[in-house]
Amino acid sequence: MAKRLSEEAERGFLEVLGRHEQLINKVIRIYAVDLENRRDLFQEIVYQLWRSYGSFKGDSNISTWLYRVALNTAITSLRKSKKVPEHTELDDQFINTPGSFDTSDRSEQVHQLYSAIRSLGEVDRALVMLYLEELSYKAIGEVLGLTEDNVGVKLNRIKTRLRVLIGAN
Amino acid sequence: MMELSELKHIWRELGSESVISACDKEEVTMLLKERSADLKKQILKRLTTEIKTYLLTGLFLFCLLVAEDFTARRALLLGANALLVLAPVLGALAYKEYRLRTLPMSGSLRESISTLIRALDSTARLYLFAYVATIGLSLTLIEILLVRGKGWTLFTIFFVPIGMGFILWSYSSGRRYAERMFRAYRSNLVNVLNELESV
Repeated sequence: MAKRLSEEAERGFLEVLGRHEQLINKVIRIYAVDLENRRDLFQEIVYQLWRSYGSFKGDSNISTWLYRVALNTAITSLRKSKKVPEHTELDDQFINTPGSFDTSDRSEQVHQLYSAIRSLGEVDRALVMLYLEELSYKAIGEVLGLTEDNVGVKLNRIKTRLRVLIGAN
Repeated sequence: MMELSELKHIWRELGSESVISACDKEEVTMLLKERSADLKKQILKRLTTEIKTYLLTGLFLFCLLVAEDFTARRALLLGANALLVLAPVLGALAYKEYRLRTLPMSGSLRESISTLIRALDSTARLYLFAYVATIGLSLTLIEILLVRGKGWTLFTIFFVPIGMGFILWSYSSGRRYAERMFRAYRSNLVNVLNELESV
């Protein structure tokens, strides 16, 4: 591969990538909209993971490390100009009908969930994602560099906003 | 109406949806090679822009020399000076650009952004230094050549404040240029930091 690791490390990296591919895909979907940007971001994230895999010492959980690299890369990518606009507007139909999330079509719900998340700020998107991934406040704080209290306060505000956005109770 | 807990349920279900996949060795190898090539291309593009700026400056200075009793020896000296100055400057810029694009992303978001902002500022300072130093050294060389060829005349004496003025101008224009180069990206990063700080 581009930067040489031992065979064993290479195998380990591919295994980690395979096991956590969905996590990377979720990050991509909340930070990039069209296919070209998603491909770019996927490439960038895998590249950054590869670069830092050698120095991963296992002092934190592998998924926490993955969240860190993937989210940091998505938020700070130098290719930002080609990425999703900072605050993606919600679909008009979605905004106009508060109960529209209550639909039987699951894929539509998924689309609307992403749409709601993408309408948040960049840090809030990361917070929501980590919350939905059921990370503890402590782990979320470690990924983002926030205190547990700060995470709690921010999440409460974001949850209220999400409730409004998706018309939830 | 949907409870937030149900969002978690939907979110978990998303695990089966793959946007892009790259799990076998060949795919990942190709992806990493493409990214490395792309990285080199981006850096080269940035440096090419810089070289053009320096060449334009060089051309201007060269014209000044032509107007002032141009000789082949002077052209050689100017070329050697340009190489001596430009090679390390471009090397340092290439290194800074590479580092900027490959900073480790394994720290917390706050750490990564702070590191990135510091790296951007330091790269911008190097661009400014390189620009001002190139112009300053070139002007100094021209002055030396002029004094050696003509001695201290009204023209060579007058050239000193003109040269200093030009260096001052290069500092302010270089600063604007370096700021403009990273302004949008830097302000984006600062916004994310502010978002992190806000409650």
